[in-house]
Amino acid sequence: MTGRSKWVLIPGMVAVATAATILSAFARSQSAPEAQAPAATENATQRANREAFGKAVPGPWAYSGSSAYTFYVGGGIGRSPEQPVKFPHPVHVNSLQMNCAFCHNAAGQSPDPGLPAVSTCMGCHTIVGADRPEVQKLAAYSRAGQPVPWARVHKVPEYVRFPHMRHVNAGVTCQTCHGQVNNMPQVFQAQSLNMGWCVSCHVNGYSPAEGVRAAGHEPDAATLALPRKKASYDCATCHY
Amino acid sequence: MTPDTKTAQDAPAKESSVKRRDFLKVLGVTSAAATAAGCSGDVEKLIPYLVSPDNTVPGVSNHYATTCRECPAGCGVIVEVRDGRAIKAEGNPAHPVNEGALCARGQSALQGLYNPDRYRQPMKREGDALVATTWDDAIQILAQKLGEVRSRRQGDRVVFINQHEQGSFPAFLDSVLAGYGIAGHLSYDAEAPLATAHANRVAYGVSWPRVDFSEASLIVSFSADFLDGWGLPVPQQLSFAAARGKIEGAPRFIYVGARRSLTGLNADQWIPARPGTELAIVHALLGRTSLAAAAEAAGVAPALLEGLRDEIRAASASALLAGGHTENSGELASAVAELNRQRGNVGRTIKPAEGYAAFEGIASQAEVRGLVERMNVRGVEMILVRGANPAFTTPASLGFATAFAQVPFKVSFSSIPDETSALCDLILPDHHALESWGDAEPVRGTLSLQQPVMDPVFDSRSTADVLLAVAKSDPTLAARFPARDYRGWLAPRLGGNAALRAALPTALTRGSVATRTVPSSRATPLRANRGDGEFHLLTYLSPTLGDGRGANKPWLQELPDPVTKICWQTVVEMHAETAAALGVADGDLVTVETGSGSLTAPALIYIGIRPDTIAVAVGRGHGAAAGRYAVAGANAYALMRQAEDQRSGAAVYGASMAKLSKATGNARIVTIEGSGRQHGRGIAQAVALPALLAGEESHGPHTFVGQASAEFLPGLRSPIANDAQGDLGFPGSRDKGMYDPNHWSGAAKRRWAMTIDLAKCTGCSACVTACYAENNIPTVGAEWQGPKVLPDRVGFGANITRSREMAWIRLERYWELDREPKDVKFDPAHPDFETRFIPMMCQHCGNAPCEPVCPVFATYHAPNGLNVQVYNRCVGTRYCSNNCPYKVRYFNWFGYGEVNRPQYAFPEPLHWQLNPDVTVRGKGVMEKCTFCVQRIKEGENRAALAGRELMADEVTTACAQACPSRAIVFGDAADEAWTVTQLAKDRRAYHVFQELNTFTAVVYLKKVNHPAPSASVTA
Repeated sequence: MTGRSKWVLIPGMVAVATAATILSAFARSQSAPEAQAPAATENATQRANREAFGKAVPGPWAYSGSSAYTFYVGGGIGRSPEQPVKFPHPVHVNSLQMNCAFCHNAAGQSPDPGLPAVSTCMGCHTIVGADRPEVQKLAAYSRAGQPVPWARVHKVPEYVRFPHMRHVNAGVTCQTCHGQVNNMPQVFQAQSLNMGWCVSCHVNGYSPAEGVRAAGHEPDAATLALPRKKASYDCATCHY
Repeated sequence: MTPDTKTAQDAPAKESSVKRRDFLKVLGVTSAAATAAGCSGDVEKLIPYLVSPDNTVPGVSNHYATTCRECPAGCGVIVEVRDGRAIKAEGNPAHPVNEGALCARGQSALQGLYNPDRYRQPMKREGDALVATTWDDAIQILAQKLGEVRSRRQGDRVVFINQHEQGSFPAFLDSVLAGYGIAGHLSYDAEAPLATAHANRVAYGVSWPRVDFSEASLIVSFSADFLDGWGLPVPQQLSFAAARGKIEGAPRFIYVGARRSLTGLNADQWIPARPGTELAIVHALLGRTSLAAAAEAAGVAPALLEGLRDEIRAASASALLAGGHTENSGELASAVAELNRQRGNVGRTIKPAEGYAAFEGIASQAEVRGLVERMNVRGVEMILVRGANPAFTTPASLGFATAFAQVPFKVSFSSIPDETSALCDLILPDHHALESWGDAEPVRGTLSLQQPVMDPVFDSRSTADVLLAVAKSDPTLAARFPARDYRGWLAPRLGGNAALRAALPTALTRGSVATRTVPSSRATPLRANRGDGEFHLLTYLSPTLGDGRGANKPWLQELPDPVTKICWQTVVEMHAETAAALGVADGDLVTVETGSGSLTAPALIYIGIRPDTIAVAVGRGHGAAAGRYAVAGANAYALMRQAEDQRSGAAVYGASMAKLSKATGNARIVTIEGSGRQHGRGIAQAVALPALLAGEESHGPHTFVGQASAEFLPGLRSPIANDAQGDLGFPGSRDKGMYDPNHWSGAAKRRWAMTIDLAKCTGCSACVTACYAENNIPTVGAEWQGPKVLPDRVGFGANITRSREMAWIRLERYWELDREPKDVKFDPAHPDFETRFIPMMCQHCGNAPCEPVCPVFATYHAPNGLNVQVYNRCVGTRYCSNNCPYKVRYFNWFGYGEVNRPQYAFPEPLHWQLNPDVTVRGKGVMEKCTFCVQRIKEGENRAALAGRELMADEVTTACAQACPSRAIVFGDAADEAWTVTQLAKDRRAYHVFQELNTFTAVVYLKKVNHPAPSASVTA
């Protein structure tokens, strides 16, 4: 960007962004209920989320832009589709102390984090909790030789390449992007996943201490001493 | 990708209790499936595996080594499989035949695998229609029919036609057939150069000796189109390009033939002999007749033949190859073999000791004719066809289809509908070669294995497994075939299961295949009248579509013919003089008439053909039965006379005389070519060898008033205009811009660059198909992709006539002429002209004209040297394309990648092939070559996972990977360890349009011409 064009472009972009924000806020004020108060239609998961995080899943949604779920406010923050089996992350992660990578084991090796195979679930649940209704649903899929059709929560647009392993191996905690899934009875989208959000880390750097805090822990002295980790913000890093 | 990382994984475990099909569900969502999801609130599904397969990480490719079955050569391929779907076929670097390269047809195997017209289940005939049935039913019908054959002792009235292939399957097939009293099958290949193979067997003892150009100082081809698919395309091209790439001591190449094929265009000299008179010339060269008489017969100046004779005499070693299109091809091959023997070439350039078995045991055309005669007199009760399509690939005048239709019971094992299977009563669709087991022995003593790379796309079954099931259902045969499936039959022959598994990572092992007894030819060759007419008609095999088997693959239809640059269309090639005499111009319809049939198609002026000869490529113009793509063009088999080589009975393609007349109307020529000439722009440059050796520059820089002075600086040393760098502009790094390793931004580490050696490039266009496969490039020429938005342009190729093709890389072919081709006169004394080929893709200019004109910064320069196109930022102004001097930016006009549009290029399941690493572009977006940035990223990710830097030559682009000439080299020009850095310093190096100060990252090495020893030094 040349010096001159910068001074033409930046105010223009700012104006466009302001307009979008105002429009978005207008649309929301027209249709969205007050997010903080319990809505009459609130379901159990939304209530649990509100109790855990101080806000229920917002909605219905208005246009905002910049993520795969452009249909949603803030690029889909709070989006929480119903899952075919009510898999409780808190039980597995908090109570049973299972590591994320036990099930999502490709996250450190592949662009794709991977979902546990049905056989992985059944490895425990053939015996553990076999009488519970949700586990029985799972067992039914397994018996029928059908994979569980999980509903996708997080998605970046088609024109974005997001290699999980580069982020995981750089030490970015899962919770930095996915929120405290370990506390979500039903997983919802915790961050906007829009480009501004991505680039804020790539440009300013990822703070390992903040990443640990996002995971719900207090960073130790060594972590606090770590510098911010920057990454390339060349367009072709992600867009090709 | 380097060989070490391309190690193939073990074969899919067929014995596993859970079927692969069940758990190889795609995890995540492929690019294509999700294009519609970008702005909807619909919930997408994430489908996990049922059981996670071994050696598989979701989102990481597996690579399976197997054997290519697109032609009989038996090249090794490595198929990249992502989440259970094959997405790319590349050459196997460890394979002795193709050494990592792969031709366009081999790469297009994937479009055979995912062809939307494939049979989806077995079919049987009920009345006039074929209706779907179950495998149990179909196998039971076949078993019953075969049982009847045996009980009635009608084995001699049953014929099995199999596609010609190497390996154990032919012997297996014969052993099953023998169980029913049926004699050996007919191995059929309409493309095989049988006349030459037969003569080779007599002269050298092997049907196909290895041709090694490395020692030759002269190559003479007598209509042997060894760069067009004749013989074994990839090894021949590898050897030829390596020899020509030597520059000093490279062989001079003379082509003798009526039409300059792609092979002919690569020759330094053309001797345009009339079809069939190559033999007279060789006889004269052998001293049997006079040169003057041969020149008279061939219609060329005697001086040309004297020069040829003198050069062959003077050559220390020469490679003389015989092809031919007429009935004396076998005699020609024998005479050339004699000439090779006299010149001492056998063992030096022609190596019988390293022969290939590719063309062993193929039925001659005479045998096919014998079969037709038997069918016509009701001598055949049942016929089974697998992989071959003789109803299309025989001259219409032979009447194969009519005779075939009379056979009481006809079975097809074809995996894809074609003219032959449409006539059949029972269809048992075979697996595609990429779904089945097999083997081949491409080089004596080396076995090349074929393994399934993924689970079957449709409900097809391997023919071998079907035959086993049939045999097992027969109590008298069951004991003879204890193997559970064909893999089980094959394994013991390869040394057992463990040995088979051990060999699979490279798919190569020592050994030899089961041999079979080849039934001897029962028919004697036919001598027939050549017909009347004033023109010799050459109906030649298309270099891209072959005998027509490639016509159902849109990549191959859209790949411009390397010579004519025609796609999706059949044209009648004629010399400018012929066209002028007839009063036609390019595109005017003409009618070709032979004693066998007639064809009306647009005329195309081609200066590489004799004025008394016209040419039409076969391969296009299938019937509607052959699917949505194959019907493009016109069928030249309709013109062909049933002709056979007099010695071997081989099929002969160019032996007819024809009448040519002007028809009414005209059609647009479907071509990507703008002008066939360079108009002095110096795009494809050449230098004569003597001038190069003398250190002279034969093509000076192009000068014009006010031109900036630009010194040639390859690679890292290319300066970047400081003001083009914006924030990165820094006076201290003026000469290197942001590529300066000491630049304050620290952004630069690499400078991706490419060299293309035009002395090696033959114009084969394998790079183009590789790019289509790697980068999800849509084909745009299908019939339904045009008319809805272009009502005035209908039919195949409508979009291309409006220059709306999407080829990120194109193979430009330039005639070196001082006038338009239509004004060229044929001079028998000086018939020659020079042709240059140059692959043209985004040059990744250091100082790119496209970048400053983009109003939204959708195209910009990355610090690693890439000119990046950001699709999601592009708003489609097309200013960049307007400003690109190389015209390598392509605008997606109609949403070819969007599933809901009529122009959608990937009908189910063709989109299964789409590369998940590359965005499928939507409408209104500019696209162009990315230097395969996804492959660079993949390499960088791999290196980062291993905690190391990229190694030299670790990543390469798809075009460079495929190139069977090894002309394209890609790498980091900022690192001396990469090959590209060394090549960029070559004395032949130049940048296209370097006078524009674009400082491109693509460095071309000039073509080298080898003038006749006596000729004056000109380039």
